[in-house]
Amino acid sequence: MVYNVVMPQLSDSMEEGKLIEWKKKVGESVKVGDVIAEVESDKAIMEVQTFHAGVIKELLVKEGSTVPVKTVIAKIESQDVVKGSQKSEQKPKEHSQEKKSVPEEKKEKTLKEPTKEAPHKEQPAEHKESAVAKELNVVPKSLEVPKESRISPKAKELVQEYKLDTKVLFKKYENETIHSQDVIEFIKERYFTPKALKVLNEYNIDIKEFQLDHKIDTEEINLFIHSHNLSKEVSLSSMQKAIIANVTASAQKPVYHIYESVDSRLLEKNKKHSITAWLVKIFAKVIMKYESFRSKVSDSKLLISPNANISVAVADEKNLYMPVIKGAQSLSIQEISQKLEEFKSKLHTTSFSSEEMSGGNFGISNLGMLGLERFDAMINRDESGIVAVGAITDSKLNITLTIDHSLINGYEAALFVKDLKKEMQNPQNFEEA
Amino acid sequence: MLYREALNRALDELMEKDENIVILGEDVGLYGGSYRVSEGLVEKYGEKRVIDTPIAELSIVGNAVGMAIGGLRPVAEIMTANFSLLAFDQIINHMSKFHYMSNGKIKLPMVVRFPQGVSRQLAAQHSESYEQMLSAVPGLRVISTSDVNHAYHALKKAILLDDPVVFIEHELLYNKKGEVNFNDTMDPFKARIVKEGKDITIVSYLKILDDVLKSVDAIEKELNCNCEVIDLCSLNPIDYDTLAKSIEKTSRLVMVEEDHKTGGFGSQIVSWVAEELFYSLDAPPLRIAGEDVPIPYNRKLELASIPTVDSITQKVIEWGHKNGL
Amino acid sequence: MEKLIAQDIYYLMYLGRAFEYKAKEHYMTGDISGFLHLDIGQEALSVASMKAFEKGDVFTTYREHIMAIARGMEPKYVMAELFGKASGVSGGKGGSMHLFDPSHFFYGGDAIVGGQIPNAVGCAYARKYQGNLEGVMVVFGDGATNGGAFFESLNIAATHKLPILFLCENNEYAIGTNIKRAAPFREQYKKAEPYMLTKAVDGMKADEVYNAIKEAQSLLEKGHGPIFIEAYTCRFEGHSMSDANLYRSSQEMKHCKAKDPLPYFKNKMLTEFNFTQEEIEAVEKKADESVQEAVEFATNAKEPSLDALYEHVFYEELNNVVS
Repeated sequence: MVYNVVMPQLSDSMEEGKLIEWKKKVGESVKVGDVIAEVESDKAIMEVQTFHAGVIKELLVKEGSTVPVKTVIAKIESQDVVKGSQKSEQKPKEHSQEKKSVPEEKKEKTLKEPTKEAPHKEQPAEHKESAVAKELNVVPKSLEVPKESRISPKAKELVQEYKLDTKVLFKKYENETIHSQDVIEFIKERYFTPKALKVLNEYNIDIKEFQLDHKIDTEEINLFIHSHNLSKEVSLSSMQKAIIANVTASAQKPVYHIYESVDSRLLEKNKKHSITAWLVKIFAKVIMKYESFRSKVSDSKLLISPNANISVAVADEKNLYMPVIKGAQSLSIQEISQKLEEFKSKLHTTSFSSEEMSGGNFGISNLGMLGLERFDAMINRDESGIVAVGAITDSKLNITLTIDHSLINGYEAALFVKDLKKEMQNPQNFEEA
Repeated sequence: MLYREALNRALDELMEKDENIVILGEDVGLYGGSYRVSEGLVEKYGEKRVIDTPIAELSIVGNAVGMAIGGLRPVAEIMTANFSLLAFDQIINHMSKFHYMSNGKIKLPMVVRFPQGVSRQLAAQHSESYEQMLSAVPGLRVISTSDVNHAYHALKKAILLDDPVVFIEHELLYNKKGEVNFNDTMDPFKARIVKEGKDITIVSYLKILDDVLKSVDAIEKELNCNCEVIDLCSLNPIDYDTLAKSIEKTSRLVMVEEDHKTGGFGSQIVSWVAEELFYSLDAPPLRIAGEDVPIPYNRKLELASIPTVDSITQKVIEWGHKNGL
Repeated sequence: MEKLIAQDIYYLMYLGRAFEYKAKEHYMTGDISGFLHLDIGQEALSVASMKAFEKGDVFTTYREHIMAIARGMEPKYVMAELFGKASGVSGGKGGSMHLFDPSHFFYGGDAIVGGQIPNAVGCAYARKYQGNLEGVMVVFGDGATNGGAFFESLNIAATHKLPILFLCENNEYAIGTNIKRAAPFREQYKKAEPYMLTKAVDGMKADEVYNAIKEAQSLLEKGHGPIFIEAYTCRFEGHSMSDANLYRSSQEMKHCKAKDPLPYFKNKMLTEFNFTQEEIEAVEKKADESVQEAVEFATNAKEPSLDALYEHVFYEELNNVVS
């Protein structure tokens, strides 16, 4: 058996070694551990020992020459046929086979892999190619940015993505840095009609949703909105926020309802003034008899108002206000009507002051003129109750009282209603002062 | 609850449950901890579990590694970041590598805690920050904590985790007040969005994050914009997902840190953004960091050596004006 | 020492040397790379210490192939690690210097001189805390006794009366620097004397090493506290493969090799333990076969997959932890 002696790796960083001196000659016999040569590594001159006994058959490298690590530098013919050494002789053979076979296997693998995959992925591979080719054709030429302009990376990406006419863009932003937002504005101006743009912004739609190769109008955007069921986002006005807070708080109140009908013949006779106006007058009168209807809780004390301050619901489709007629008990029906007119006109012009909206004791909400037979209402702010006024049927006016139980108990409320019914039939109340 | 009390509470709760948890460090026991983090624990758990060590940082961390190998869950305290340098061999050569070198056979459930950064005139050998070095060591989890609630949850998780964790605190945060939400389900090892916004992403961590938050109002007013502020929390691994989402939204990055600018931790974030998110940017990233000088003693000079509320405000506004805000 | 243990020690010493020569051979052919520190000449110390200290935990240095095998790791998995293979004791990620096996209470394999000593002290603390006094043995060279970690460790171990055995293998050389040029005296136990019980033994004699360590462990178990043993030894090879060993004269090497621990112990086997020549040859043959098998196993073993690169950086996937 022949054992190959290789240029040994003698340090972690050694790649080649210089053969300084052969310590044995061809034909000389060696035993395990004998030094057969001196070799210079990158770190030092070191001895090369043999791990196999035998006779030196060949010395393949001349003294003074440098060869890469693992180059065969000598061959030793082993003589003994002891089991152990046989093994070790076979081993280098196996070893070298192993070594060779590993890269071969690797080669095979790298060769095989594509062919293996080819039958499976033939189509996608083609696709891929054509896609790549396509991409290559489509890749925009690198953007030429004029000296007097600067463009951010994100903006640049957008320009290339949308293949924008850079001349116009750079002209527009001469001597400025163009940011992505600028490009988006530019795209929007270019591809959307002004009206469409308004809708686009209103619905906060990304421009990426549209194929940008034509001018987009409102019709197309509306179509998109409907097909995607997009909700329109409207931010709440401070009044809307206040209303939400108010009714939410009101819903927490311990209330009960009284469903009644009162005589409406006198109301119908005196149509010169509105039902609401008459009701303000008559409610004010009755309320003056009942302290609890004029009271409110504040800081764990009961505050009792000296006046009947009646809040009246004034509304259109969008807005709802409850301005207060203060000291209604001492106002004439003309004065009350005038106040109500003021309120109505204010609804469409200026908003109400917080002064006008606060300080109420009791509310009136009338929807009878819209034909609603009966409904109930929620108490406004910290008032004691509210009356929801429905339509007149058979000379009877349908009213529903919502009462705050923490201020007014049921018995007292029943007395109040009894009084109210009486006053509705009292002609003196319907005289114009 | 104070920041240091939150840390104390985290230690206390876990020590009560698991007797394998031990604390070791200089003056952590009878003295009560230099920043009172371990106050009261030696009385409750005894000297065997709250171990006063000699002034030998190499051994504090080295012994903690051995304790973890031996089945304990040590929490080692180094008095201040600068002293941790004496233990860097143990932190970097041992603590961070045993798990990997042993192909997972050894695990080290241990925490090394220390405060760092500029406090008040402690001068060059007691004021430095080392997260830039430690976060660059694979195999170490590096956590910074800037907030009372986060401190409580993060320390608990750090102790319960079977990985070695470097837990970075800040001297000026120990008396910070805050609430702990004991039912919080947050992952304290993920970045926290402290404030949402849409125009600028400001990334920071540890104490300087508080200065960022104080500067945000003025910045938003002046630039008429909306800042998103992110507390990184985990410095290794870095929660890039949260960062990417934010930067893709805002297209602008400001990185604020207290350590020296050259080679500072933020350079990693900015270089990552340049590599991965270049085409999402509308402005060059802005880095606000400490000066490249040892920390001086004099208060005026000391403050000039690190970012402050004023300098952060001013730099972000200047940068914003230059870059289309 | 019992006869069976003597046989075991001789088997492992013989196997260790054969293993190291095979490692050397395969380093030269490039199968093994990096730093390879051979333990040839120090087999008595490496084997006898591990056999004597069989109960507790062990921390050691980068010259640890034979110790790892004597501790119970199979030679083929150690050789596979040297070859950088996936089936190596550290999955091919540690290499010659980083053999770990907690199932044999063997924690490296530490290549920072003196770095393992504080770890061993910490582990000893843990063991004492757990009420286990079998103790921890930490092995280090004479070079490590000049570093700060060593002195810190003596101090802490003595302060807490920890069950730890400091075993110093004094081969007189820190790579190429003789101990007399780096310390004021040759005997390093003198450094430990103020702190703990110390003892010096001839590290070339397996029986002496064995008896000293056996005695030390029984003292630890009785709660004695730290003990320092110094064993004088001699490495026959360079510090690592890249060391041409030029700092030692041929006369010194001759003197050194005259104390070869293998013939010494073989003689003991024949005279004291009454083994026959044939019995000894059978032991040697078994060892040779085991080494041959190790080389074949390592040669044919698989390389780690590339995925292994990212495995075990951290232990936990964070999502699994509930705080």
